[in-house]
Amino acid sequence: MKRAEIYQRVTGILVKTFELDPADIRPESRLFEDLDLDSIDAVDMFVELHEITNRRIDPQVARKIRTVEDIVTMVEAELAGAGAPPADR
Amino acid sequence: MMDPVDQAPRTVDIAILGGGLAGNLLARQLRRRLPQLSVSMFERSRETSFKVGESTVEIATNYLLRRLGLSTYLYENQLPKNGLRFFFDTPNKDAALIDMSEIGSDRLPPFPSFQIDRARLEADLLRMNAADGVDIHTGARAHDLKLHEQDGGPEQRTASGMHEFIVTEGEQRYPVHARWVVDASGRASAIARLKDLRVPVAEHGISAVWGRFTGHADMDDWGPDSWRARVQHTARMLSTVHFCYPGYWIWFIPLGRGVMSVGWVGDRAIFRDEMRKPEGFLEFLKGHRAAWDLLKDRAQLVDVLAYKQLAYGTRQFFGGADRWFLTGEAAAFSDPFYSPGSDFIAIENDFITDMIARDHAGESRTQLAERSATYDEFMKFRFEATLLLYRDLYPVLGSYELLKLKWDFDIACYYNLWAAPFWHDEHLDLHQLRGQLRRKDFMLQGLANFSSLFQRLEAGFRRKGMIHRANLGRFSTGLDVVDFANELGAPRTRRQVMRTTEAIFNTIRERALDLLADLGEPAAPSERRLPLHDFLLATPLA
Repeated sequence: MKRAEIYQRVTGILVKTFELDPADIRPESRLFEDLDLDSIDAVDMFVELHEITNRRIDPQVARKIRTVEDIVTMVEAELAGAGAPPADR
Repeated sequence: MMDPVDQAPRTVDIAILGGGLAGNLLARQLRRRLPQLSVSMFERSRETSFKVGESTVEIATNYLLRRLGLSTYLYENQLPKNGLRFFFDTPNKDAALIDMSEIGSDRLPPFPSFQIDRARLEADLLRMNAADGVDIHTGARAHDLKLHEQDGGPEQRTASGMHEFIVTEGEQRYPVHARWVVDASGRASAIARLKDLRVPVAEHGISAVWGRFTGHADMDDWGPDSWRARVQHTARMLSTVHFCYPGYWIWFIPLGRGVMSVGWVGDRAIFRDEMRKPEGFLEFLKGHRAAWDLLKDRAQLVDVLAYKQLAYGTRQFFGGADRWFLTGEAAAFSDPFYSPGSDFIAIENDFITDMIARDHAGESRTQLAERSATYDEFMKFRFEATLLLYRDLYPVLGSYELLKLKWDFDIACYYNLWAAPFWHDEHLDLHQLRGQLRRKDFMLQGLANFSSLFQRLEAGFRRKGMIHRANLGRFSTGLDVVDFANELGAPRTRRQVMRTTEAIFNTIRERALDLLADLGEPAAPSERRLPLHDFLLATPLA
């Protein structure tokens, strides 16, 4: 899956699961501050992401997620089997 | 005797194999919900027997009252239960009852539950079911069961297209054909054997011994007035009383009419074969001063039973599309601590009744198969979550401080995550159930994280000789974390449930961090309160 495609899937999840306006979602949008998600939404998001990656989310990586782009990077790494944290990219 | 194959088969809509608690409750539920279907029940023994599991908790009780209309019966014929009560001892097991630290309510709990004399309940249910038109056969052994499974090979299908078995009842032998068959026959389960469903749970090796006593002392007429005033003179006797020790516990459960059930449950490594015999069991109890003070030589031990390995699971609970089901101990058993057995019966019987009703109403095989698989996955989730309450945690039982922490966590999670959703029938709503199952791995991880935390605390306490340090003189009602009980009367949004979960998790974690600090093992949490998702990932909580 290409990065652009992952981005589409991730924004699709955010729109569908949290009823967000697609226009509000940008790569640099911060999940908690800009999109007004909370820790309970984050659990749902992990559940949904699990369905794309089919892998368990690496807690160390998950902890560092702040923005939509971070999610895309995490999913990309999970799909590549690398599991590298977003900060390393 | 006529050969059974020469006889015309007796045909019935629903056959229930086993007439114990699970089978009788299901028969009653089916008659109330689907009076147009015929129900036959086949019970091997002639008399109802004394069994383990006399205490109901809030899911099962809600089922008995709301679904089965047994409120008046229970209040008139069984004892209301005053929650759970835990007492803690010294290393020498010589503390007097009134000196022991205690966790237990000082009033009847807000949600009803009962102490049940099971032999009496089962006999009463048999009578009520017979009056309701259930075709009951006692002293009737069902055998040579053949299930009809539509998509199976030729050997998995019967000529009649129904489930078939033979019944031996006294001198008679006759074939029975049934559209639906429910196995409620306990550990001996015919379907579990036929389909090789049983799964050992070797990692949770606990045993149990229990017996009935008469002539025991009255706990509510015991000790100085100040000790009784501590619980506002509420009836301690009506609680399930636990005497707690590292690796095991001893229960006292009143059965009414002067009979007390007394049992031991513990690590298999502590179990001794002598305990299966009355003298051995009494000898063991004598080594525990407070428990023995209530019995002494004046009490008579009526009978003793034992199981060396209690826990087992199942690969499958229901074959909804193929019209076979397991309920109660025919399916699985985890542990009697917190009495989850009748809760499992309640959920299983609800699922079974729902699937039979839908099948009868003409729901498609595909839809039934899908529903059955979802219900099955939920039961496995529930079973796994229940085992997490106990597995590797028996050592925690010996300490007032540690068990209080665990109890506060367990009771709050039980009300929040399991009991309230059952009360509002969320388990019968496929959409809600799927939502819950999607989060299953995270929730199990969260529970496992707390289990690890409790184990770490116990290891530290043991190393530093602190297990017994608060086992005398302390008292707690054990309801400090259940401050959300008033919210549970109406359905809540998932968000509310998760917010409560987050609050419970943080409260317990903070208290655990304080205990770790006592151990000189200060954890280094970056923040005092964690967001919910941090609890549900595979990382230590401290």
